[in-house]
Amino acid sequence: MLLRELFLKRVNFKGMIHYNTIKSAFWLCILALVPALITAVCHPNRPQWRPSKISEGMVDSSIVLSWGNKVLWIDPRTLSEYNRSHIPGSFPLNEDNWNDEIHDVLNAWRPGFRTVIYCGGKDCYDYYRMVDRLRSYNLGNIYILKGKWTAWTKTGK
Amino acid sequence: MDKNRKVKGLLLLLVRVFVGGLFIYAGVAKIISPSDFLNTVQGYQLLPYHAGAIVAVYLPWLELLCGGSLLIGVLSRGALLNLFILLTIFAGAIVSAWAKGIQLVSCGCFGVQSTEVNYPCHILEILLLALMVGVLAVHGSSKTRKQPIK
Repeated sequence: MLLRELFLKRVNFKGMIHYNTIKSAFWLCILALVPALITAVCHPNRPQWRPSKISEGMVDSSIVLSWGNKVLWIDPRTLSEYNRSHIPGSFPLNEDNWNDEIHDVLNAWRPGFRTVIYCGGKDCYDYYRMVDRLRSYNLGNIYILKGKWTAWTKTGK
Repeated sequence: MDKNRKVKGLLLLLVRVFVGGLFIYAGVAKIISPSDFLNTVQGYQLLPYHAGAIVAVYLPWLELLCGGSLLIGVLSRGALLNLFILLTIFAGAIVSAWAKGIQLVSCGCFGVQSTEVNYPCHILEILLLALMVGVLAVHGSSKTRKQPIK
């Protein structure tokens, strides 16, 4: 009976949202701006505000996400690790299989693509040596994903 | 009749504390790490990077303030309106991700969690929450409601 009264009460929607409601909603929105601005400037885990100005080097997964599909992923771990799990669309490339796999990587690359290397395990390939080696193939800008690659899966990919 | 009114009042108070507390928790969980929340926002593939970053720093504070004002009863009707709009946007974002076939690891509702998103469940949760907000809007502040300006 009570629930029926609660849910089926005739509602005068025209009178529900009036000037004071909108005004208080607006003030709450304005109030929230103040701590949000402080967060944007001072928070230790604040987002990076200039992703376009990031030079080659370490890059956050949030920035890679903003690049959409124009990313060429390279997985430098061992083939067995790659077979166990990897970022979809990534290429397994390390010193052992370089000559076999580099052609697939070069075929997949298109102008405007950014190359991102991910790893994070203990027995990882030397990132920077790999970056130097890839640079000789003119693969555009080359980045290294910050943190373990499993962090990428937490971003929703 | 009087007893009925008392039970109704208690029920509304409980709904109010639940909804307010839930949004405070949701806000705080996201405020702890805005960059992680940005990752989740980007996962929906709805907003460009900078818009996503603004949402990641602003939205948690709005949730926290609205939850707080609902709990303490200051600007509560405005808070309810904001929460209703936010819930509508959340539901739209989840439906959009579902339609695009994106398998989100976290919906980002309470910060970053690593449980796979069950879309129908989330939509149902949001609808229930929106219903609670609606019930509060209709009944919760009826004593303080003023006449609309004509």
